[in-house]
Amino acid sequence: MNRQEIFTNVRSCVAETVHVAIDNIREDSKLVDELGIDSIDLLDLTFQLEQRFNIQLSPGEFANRAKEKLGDTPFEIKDVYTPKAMEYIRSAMPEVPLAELPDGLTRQELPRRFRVATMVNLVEKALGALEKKNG
Amino acid sequence: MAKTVLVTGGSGALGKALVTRFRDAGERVFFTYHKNEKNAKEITEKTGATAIQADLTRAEDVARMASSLQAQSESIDVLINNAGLTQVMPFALIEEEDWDFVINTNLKSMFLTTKAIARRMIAARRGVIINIGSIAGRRLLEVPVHYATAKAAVCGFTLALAKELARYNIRVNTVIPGMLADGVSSMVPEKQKQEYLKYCAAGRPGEMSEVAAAVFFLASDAASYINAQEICVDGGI
Repeated sequence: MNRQEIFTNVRSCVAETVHVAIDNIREDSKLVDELGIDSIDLLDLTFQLEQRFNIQLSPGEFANRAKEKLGDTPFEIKDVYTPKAMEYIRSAMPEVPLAELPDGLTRQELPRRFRVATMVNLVEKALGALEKKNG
Repeated sequence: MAKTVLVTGGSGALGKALVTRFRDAGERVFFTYHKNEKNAKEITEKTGATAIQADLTRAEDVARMASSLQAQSESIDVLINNAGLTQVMPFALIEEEDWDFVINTNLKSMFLTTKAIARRMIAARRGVIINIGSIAGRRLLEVPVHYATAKAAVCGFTLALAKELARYNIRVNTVIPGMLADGVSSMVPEKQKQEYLKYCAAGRPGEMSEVAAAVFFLASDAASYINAQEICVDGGI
């Protein structure tokens, strides 16, 4: 499945979750601030994506991968991402403009940076991992 | 159409009563158990409910249980968070590991299970969640502090969750049993039992089936306007 096909499917799931006209959903649309998605909607959206693509998306996977990569370097201190963690986040979320990922970002603030493209990337990675696993 | 019901901690005394009540009504029932395979097998044979082994304090086990459920059933209509335990222990003797054990078994398991199952209810835009609390978290009683803390927290969990999930047509309530004739209550020392009965209007311990009946009602469409409530089944105390 190519990226455009993934986007088309993700867009349709987002539209179902937040009842927004499909034409108003772009890859760079912000999930929280523009489309009005909240934390429970995110649960709904990830479940719909899992069903649609037959994959597993764990909300904690992103942080777990980052923690693995950082090793003994702390990922966050009192809910604030460390500078090393921010470096990882910036590289893992190229769809988010760098200006929106400054040092000192908190766990609570990060989801507000999510774009539709963030979900497309997550699905793309999960499909890639699945393909690799199935040979 | 039969509802699909998941009862956590189904191999315990109250769990068994819950599984039996819903099966008697013709519902499709799944239940989890941790270590008591013998009981789980007996309940399965007797009721026809499906048992799933899982340690619900472990996220991997919860994910496996949810996947197994998803493979066997299109939807989950009712979740009953019943898994839990206590230790009879005075405050001064409770160690850090005891605290973690009781809090995790009663609370973390409820959080992990609800998170995994609520996703399917949210997608279906309907569902009922019933959390089992305890009189230990509500009244001035001589009860283990860590258990009382965990059970009091169940009520807060219910309130906040009910608020978040209401727009998806998911009701969340707590059922608070008083002292019962079996289960966790069987560990209560005689002196405390007599003290409880002295103030209990019914003058007797409750039956498992009486708690199961309240849970069954809350899970039914007859309770469609009951949300975010704490229903005490304690004989009046």
